[in-house]
Amino acid sequence: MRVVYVYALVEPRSRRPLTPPRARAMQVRGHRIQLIPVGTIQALVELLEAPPALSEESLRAQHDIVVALARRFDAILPARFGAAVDIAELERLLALREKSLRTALARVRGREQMTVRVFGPEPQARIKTGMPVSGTAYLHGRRKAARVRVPASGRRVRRAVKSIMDRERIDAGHGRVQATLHHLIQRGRHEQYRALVRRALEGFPTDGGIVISGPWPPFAFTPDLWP
Amino acid sequence: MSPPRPHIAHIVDDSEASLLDVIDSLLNKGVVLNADLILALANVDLVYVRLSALLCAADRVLPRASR
Repeated sequence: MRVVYVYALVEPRSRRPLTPPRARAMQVRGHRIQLIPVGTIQALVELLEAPPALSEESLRAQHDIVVALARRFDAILPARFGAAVDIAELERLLALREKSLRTALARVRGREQMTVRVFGPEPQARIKTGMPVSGTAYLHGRRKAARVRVPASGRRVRRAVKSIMDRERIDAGHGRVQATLHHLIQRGRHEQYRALVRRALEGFPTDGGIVISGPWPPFAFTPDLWP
Repeated sequence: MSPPRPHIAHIVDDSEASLLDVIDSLLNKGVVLNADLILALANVDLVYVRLSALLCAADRVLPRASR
């Protein structure tokens, strides 16, 4: 049995539900991608014998497909890797979250994502001095540990791009990555974004490097729709 | 002994997706449609399944800095 493998969700061309569903196909990087109406949302899918196995190759292939699709659609919400569903389940899920999906699609319309990773020395392992006295204390400790600390260079970046960013998401770092900044900007402004970051950090002392990447589809600005 | 002097920011412009970008984007972010992610991965690499499940859970449990 073939599975419906979802790459992304996109805005409908019509506000009315399109029934019966009519698919439109396109070739993207050697894959036959179909645009199918699901209620008032549209999904970009491929019919596969089985979902792709996890590997660097399959992750890169999916990333490239989504990047190529983002060039064709003004508003796109990428799906996570492994989103194989049956069509009835997809319809049910999207119907349940139609409002938030449409809001999210409107938010990313005409936008692209830039990502800045701030690198630094790996934090030293903390020495535990004893067990927490209570569950609440333990949870407070976990919360404190998870708090995002943006290094000075990251704060400079944030200030520098504030005028052209529409939205921001900051992820806590792991290992040598001290923090990851994701910014949603208008499509076509990525060169300006890079120039602003470069100018802001010119001659700025830091313990690590900065990696700017993008423009990407708005991966970091896609809502969490876990049922 | 004085602490080592920090270097000037080394900025790398990367228009190609690094493996970090790809993993971060496709396993940790994006629309989650169902639990098939776990099923699809289970035959391949259980460690990744756990990592992915943890990341998905952490997204919803941990305080969000800003969105």
